[in-house]
Amino acid sequence: MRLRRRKRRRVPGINTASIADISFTLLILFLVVTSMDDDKGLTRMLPPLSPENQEAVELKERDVLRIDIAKGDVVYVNDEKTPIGELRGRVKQFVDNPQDLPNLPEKHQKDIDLLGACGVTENHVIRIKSDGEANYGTYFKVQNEIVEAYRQLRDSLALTRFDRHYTQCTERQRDALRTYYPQKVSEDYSKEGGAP
Amino acid sequence: MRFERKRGGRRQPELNMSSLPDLIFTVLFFFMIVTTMRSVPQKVGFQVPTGTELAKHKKQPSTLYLFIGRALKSQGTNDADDFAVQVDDKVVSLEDVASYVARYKEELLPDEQEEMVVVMKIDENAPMGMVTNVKQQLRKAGALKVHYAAVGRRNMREGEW
Repeated sequence: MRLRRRKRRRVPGINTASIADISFTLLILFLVVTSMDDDKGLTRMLPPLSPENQEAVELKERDVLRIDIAKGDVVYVNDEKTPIGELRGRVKQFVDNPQDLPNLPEKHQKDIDLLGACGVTENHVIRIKSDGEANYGTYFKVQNEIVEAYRQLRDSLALTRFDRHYTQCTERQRDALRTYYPQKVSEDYSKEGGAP
Repeated sequence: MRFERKRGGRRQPELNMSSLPDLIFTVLFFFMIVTTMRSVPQKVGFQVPTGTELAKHKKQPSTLYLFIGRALKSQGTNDADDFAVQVDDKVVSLEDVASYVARYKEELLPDEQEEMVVVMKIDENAPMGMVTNVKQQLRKAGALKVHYAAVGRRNMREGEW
């Protein structure tokens, strides 16, 4: 009789009321610790180390835009002091050369897929040179302005020719736009010389 | 009388809380998956610049992190004002960057070497002389693809010529 009663005993249920509290604590821990850390930034290619016997390419004066970042974070464009806010306009003017001015890069006729024949300033070069004591922040701003200038040029061309933004273009259309506005930025690492 | 009884007899219905832990667990798992624990211990302090034209860099095994910032006081004898270079988790002297990066590149698989990216997190106030020096060393080491890390900022001057 006693034995039978023992068999009837129920297994006590586990009190789960505190699970919510425990998981809340964990949740808050992860909320605090999480840094949605995606590496945003500008991707750039460095030029490969030039072989010894490389020929120097002669560039015409009009095809080069010289940007010098001097000590004290002053930016000179072709030896002319320029605030960073105006840099993008200068770069766009230089790359696009809308009025075909003789002191801006020469336009070469080129047949581009989808766009047809057009004048392209394909030999232009933007040359950045920075003083050793300039701040990296300024250099980065200059790079950012240049990238933005190219992006805006391509975007406005995309809007007039393809009726859509650059980001919405197909790969073929983008290729055409990139041929129209090729990005040509070079850096001068030599120590001597520089801006006045 | 009847009215009164009805009122008194009605109980406030209790909210069923039994699904609350499940909900919280779901959110918890989401955060556990999304979280990336900081894998590299920081030995230099830096504040990256802000920019508008940023692109995301997808993390891949061939990514090498390089930091230029002010050496933290806890790291030995350096003054807090000195800028130092940290590659991965080590503070490296300027001359050793090339050899360190080259060694890192050698250990990668051939197809990873092709797409190796150096993510450079550089303090805004770092002198360009040092940055250029590091870049030259990266060229020497054959790591040509670099990514200048920055934080996003809203573009306030959109549409201006």
